[in-house]
Amino acid sequence: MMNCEEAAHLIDRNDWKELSLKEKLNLRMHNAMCGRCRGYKKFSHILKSLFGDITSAQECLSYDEKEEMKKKIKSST
Amino acid sequence: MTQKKSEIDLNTWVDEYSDMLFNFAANRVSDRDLAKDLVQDTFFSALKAWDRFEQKSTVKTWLFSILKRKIIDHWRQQQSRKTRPISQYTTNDEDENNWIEATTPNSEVNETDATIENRELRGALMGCIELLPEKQRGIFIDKFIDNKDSEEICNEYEITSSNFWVIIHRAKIQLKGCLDKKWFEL
Repeated sequence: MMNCEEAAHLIDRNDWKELSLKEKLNLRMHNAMCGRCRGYKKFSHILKSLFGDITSAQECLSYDEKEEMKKKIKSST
Repeated sequence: MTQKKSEIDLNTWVDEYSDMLFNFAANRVSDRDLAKDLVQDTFFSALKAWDRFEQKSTVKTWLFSILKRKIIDHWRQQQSRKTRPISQYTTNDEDENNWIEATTPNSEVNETDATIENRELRGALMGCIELLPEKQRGIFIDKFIDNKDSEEICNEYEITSSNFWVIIHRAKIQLKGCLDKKWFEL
């Protein structure tokens, strides 16, 4: 059975989906018996979600949007 | 190597960097128009500050640093613009315990309330980030806002991987304490 320090490290890495199946199961087992680490896991999840839904989706501006942007910046400088 | 603050610079900047900047912003503010405004403001600020740019870093890095500042400011100011609620209240199936009971809405709550709460909480969070010690803050921002690889950050700060995780953990614990305090303050 791992201690809270080890569990916390797994929770920190879990923010980045870096855990192996075995680690996930170990964490789950620890958390089943540890309210403090459950709380930390919950906090970590909320904290991570507050930074927005950072995905790797590619977002681009259209040609027109870029031209419009140039115009707007020029007119305000 | 000095460039004049000419229109050509601006055109080149927009052509060359607007897509990366926009992509970075759009993935962090979940609102296309807002992301566009932030990028536009970034170019605008960059033009104004061009004389003070010492060219120690590349233009690209410099533009990104301005944009990041703007994203953080935006989050912090909790502007009244429309933002999409994030899914903090519908967590993984394994999470049945709520973190801050007092701030966790029940199922009756509508999207608008959740959005406002997200915004307020995020505003408080940005205030808390400012209070972190400098190195911790830099590393935390690199990881959580820039989404940089841990390895890259370790190289940049010349720290080991275990150091890195200790710093991230300390930063999170500080933020938790700070948020608990701010969030429950009367």
